[in-house]
Amino acid sequence: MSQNPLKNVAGKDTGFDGLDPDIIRGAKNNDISEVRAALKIDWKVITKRDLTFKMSALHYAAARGNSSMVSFLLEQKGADINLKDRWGRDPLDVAILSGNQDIIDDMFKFRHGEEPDENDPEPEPPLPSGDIITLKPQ
Amino acid sequence: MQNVSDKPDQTESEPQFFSQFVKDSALKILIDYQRDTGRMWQKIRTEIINVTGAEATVHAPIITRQDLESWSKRKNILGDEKFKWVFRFLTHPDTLARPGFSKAHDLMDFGLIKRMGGAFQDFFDDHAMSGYIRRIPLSEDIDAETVERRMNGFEGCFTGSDKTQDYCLSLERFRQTNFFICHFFSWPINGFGEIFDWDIDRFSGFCTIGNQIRLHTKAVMVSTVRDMYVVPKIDHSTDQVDTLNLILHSLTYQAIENVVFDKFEAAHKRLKYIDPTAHTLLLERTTDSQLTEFIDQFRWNLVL
Repeated sequence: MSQNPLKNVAGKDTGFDGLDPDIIRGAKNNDISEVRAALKIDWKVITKRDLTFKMSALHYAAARGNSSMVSFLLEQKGADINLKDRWGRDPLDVAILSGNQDIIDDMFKFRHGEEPDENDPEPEPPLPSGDIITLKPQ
Repeated sequence: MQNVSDKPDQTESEPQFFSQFVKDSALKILIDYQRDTGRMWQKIRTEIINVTGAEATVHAPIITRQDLESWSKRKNILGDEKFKWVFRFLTHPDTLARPGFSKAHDLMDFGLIKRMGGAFQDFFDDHAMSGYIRRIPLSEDIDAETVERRMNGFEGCFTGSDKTQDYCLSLERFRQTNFFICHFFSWPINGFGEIFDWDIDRFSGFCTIGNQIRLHTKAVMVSTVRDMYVVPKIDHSTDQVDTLNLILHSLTYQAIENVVFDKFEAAHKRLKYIDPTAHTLLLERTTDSQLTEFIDQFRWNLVL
């Protein structure tokens, strides 16, 4: 990602002082500190979805047009842009409806990063297990 | 191979310019198709050429693999001339019949929006069904020009605020029909802290115009339907509408709660109706060009 707007606002993060951080609630309220606190406890909550609408934190951030939150979430380990909500929408669908062009661009770029590039050479087949790689001496 | 010029019914209804929303939606459909089938852009480009019969001319340069690939990487945005072929491919009957392209129906010249809005309008225009919503002064003989002027008087952007939220309502007439597209936004006061963050709750849909305006909207966030009512204040000398009274959801709930509460205090009959001044939010026509430009981003991307 070429630009991370979060860097501009990181100083405003005053820290989450609650006992039970929730990533969904944090994304809904654009509270970066609560999201960060939730991820610190368990990074796997990045794919957590709420029970009612099956929406993830990325869905909520995209729906509200919170660009810095989306950037932050996409940079996290395990970020999944293909999770579908109750209506079959992934976060990119929601972002397109919402209309924030920064978020749409970020998500398209993130998604492209998951796809193989046609100009890239064919990936080498994995070595069979048990093979030994020997390095030639200089 | 079938040339698209042989199909006047498709090209006649095709828009000359494509909005960013249509282009983004089309790219999303193509990328989903690419992911699901594992096809590379070269193959998809061949499919586009085969289905649309695209031919390279000075005015319509043919679409290339590089165009599609750099578009998918967001290195560039496909221009209207080249995007036309993608649009024709996605809205071609043969493509629409394929299971992977069901979402492409939504791209078709707002046909879906018009159909849904038309059905909605028919229902609420029927006096037998909703006479209480739409009361036309039957004694008044209104000519077509006056109706046209009055309808245009509703178009525009209206803003207002309460203690915690700013509100914006956009009404846009659809092709001079008696059918409006509406967008309703609310955001915390001073919520636009940074230019890239919006923090907006957004409802979009259509509306019917009568003595009351009924907004039939859906939220982007959770796709829930919400009906809202607006009472216009019409300046009868100019047929222009500069202020609207929006009956707020929260205020409606508050009024209902008070009614229930009053049942237990029969001596105090304070509130048994929605007070047009206390329970409505005043929205005034705005001339804020920045806000209008902002609304333009959503003008046609409805949530259906």
